[in-house]
Amino acid sequence: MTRNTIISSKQVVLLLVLFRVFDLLTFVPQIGGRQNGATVMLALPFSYLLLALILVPALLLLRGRREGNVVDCALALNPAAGKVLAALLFLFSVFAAADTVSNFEFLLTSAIYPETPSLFFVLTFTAVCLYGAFLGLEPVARVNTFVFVLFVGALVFISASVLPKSDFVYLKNPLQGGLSAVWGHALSAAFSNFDAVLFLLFAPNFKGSLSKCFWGWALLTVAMVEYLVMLLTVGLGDFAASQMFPFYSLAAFADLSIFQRLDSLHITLWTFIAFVKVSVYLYFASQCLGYLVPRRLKKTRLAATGILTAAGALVISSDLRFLTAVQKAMATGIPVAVLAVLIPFVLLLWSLIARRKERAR
Amino acid sequence: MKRIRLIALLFALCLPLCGCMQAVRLNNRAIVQGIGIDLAEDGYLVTLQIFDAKGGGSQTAVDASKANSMTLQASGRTIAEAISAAELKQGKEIFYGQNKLIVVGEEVARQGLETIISFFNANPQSRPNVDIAMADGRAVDVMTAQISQGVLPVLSVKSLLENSRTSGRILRGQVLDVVDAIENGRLGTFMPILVKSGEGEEETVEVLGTALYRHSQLVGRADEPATRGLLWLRDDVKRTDLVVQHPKLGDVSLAVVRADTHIQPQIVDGVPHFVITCKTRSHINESIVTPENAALFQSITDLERMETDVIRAEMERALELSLRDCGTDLLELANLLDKYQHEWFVANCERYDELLPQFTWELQVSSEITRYGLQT
Repeated sequence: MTRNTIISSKQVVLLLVLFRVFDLLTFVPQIGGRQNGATVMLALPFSYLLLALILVPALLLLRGRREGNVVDCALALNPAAGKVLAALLFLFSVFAAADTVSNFEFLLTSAIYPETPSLFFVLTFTAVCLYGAFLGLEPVARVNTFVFVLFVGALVFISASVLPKSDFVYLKNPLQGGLSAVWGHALSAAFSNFDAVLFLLFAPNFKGSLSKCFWGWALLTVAMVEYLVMLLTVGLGDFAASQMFPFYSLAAFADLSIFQRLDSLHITLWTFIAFVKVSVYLYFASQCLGYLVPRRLKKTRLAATGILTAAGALVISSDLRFLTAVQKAMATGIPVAVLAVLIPFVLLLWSLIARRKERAR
Repeated sequence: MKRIRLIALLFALCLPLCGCMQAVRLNNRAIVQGIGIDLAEDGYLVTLQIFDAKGGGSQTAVDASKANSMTLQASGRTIAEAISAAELKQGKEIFYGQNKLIVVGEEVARQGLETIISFFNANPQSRPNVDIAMADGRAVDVMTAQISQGVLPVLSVKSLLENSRTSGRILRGQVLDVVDAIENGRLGTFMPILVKSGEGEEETVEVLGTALYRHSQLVGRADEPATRGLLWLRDDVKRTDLVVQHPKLGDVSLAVVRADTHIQPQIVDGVPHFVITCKTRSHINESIVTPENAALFQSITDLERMETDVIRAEMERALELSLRDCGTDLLELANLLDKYQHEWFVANCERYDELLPQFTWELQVSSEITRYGLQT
């Protein structure tokens, strides 16, 4: 595969951080009951340490081949294996994009436009994100940098309003549930982190060290997510448990001087982040599809990706149970375990064996 | 050229999209400023105070000397049904995103707030920090009071609540406090009690005290001293005035400018015991003027002691009323026990309400007068 877009590792870090933040800003289905906010905060750094460990095979595999991604590595070993991996990554990217579009539509039709049909948001939003994917990774990454700065500013603004009224009694002992609760959450957070697969897809698109980029992503994400979890915990208290969209509710009652209902600020930035996230996933889905379809169909692969994404989003949005089932499926950790851990590990072993055989000849 | 055609096509495609979402003009909206809820035969009677500009002529759309509102009543089996019925009565689409106050009738409060709070919690237009109050009697009386001050009657009530809160006279209740108490399952909640007073042009709304709830059910009322006691205990006093009676100086008015309260939970003989420390800083607001004011400065220690006694008495009264008489946790003691005495809490959380009246406490109050005003 030829790299056609180069972005900086800082842009990659900011992209992945905001993708993680998007999850927190959106929908929190009540899966597995209420969690102690402090336990989640303690588990988060451990989840990234665990992620670093499980991504070692993938990073070793890619280190020697910065020109390509995991699919290129697989293709070099066996064309059929490469195509299977490309197909899996294509389905994964479409699934993640469809889930994001669906989350976007779900919040808008729940909180702001209850009478508007889901079809309108799914189709128009997917079309806009398709355009973003068509423009390529670099313009979208630049937009993301701008959105990141705006988001940090908005967060400072909301914090200034919420923190004076917060009750820190809700920050309980993180070890209340025992070490098993912390470990369980760290494991779950590491394996349900879809962005780990995205990180591997980003590999040929940025300059610089993979490991430095990973640690930059891990540190900034931990800082950002810890702060957001803390703000939600102390700002909302037990009220958060009754809210489908806790951060939206927090922004709704935040007020500072003459500024009230900062939820409109939250929705604006959240829309931008959703646009960047879906565009990036569509871009990579289209890239993966490129390994599977003939070159003459190059121009239609983005359209095909968009149609599949929109169709998937419509199915997920049709029933809250489907949305919850998708969240549960992501929480199982199977996609990340297979695509970011198992397959790269197998490919690494395979490449080592192939290299030894060649040397033996 | 191709790009221009593409952009033109995109613009043309956008035009029909305007029909995909219904737009409601501002003059077709009934902007609700206050909602009163009472019990009706078939469910609930909702009284809506809607903004209705009564212009003062060509220059002003809003005449501040008039009550720029109209009142609408409707009933239904649920709050949502009642509000839908209200829309039919006046034809405009009701918008309660600007709602400032919810007044709950006493009967509704006795029945339990969980039946009505869900509407305000689930609805995206409603904000979680909307003020909520209880009427002494029926909410419709408070909502229909023709208060001549201010642009809107409900704005006058809201200002009253804000000023009373700032001066440490009321406990202000909001929707999220009620939901918080219901979700927690162990905490109580509170809200000010409003009553209409006066007649004709002198009609106004006053604050009678504080309604106390165990979880979501009305269980008692707190008068002004007990209300302030709760404020001291909750560390919610920003500024307040109190009067002490000195044998030589007479009545001396003190302005409390700072108050810090900490509650430390302990377990003594298997029963939660709370050490409550409260430190205040005050200024002398008003005292008698004597030819030599040495008497005032010599009496500072006495005044501090008297101030401590007043605060301690109010806190004791509040603790007795909330924990012993009403059996409701208004001080978030359950959260403190969960955080600092987790083992006891886990073992006894199911019986928390039953054990609440057995809780003991120790008050450590200290007051310091740091400024004496501008009088020498």
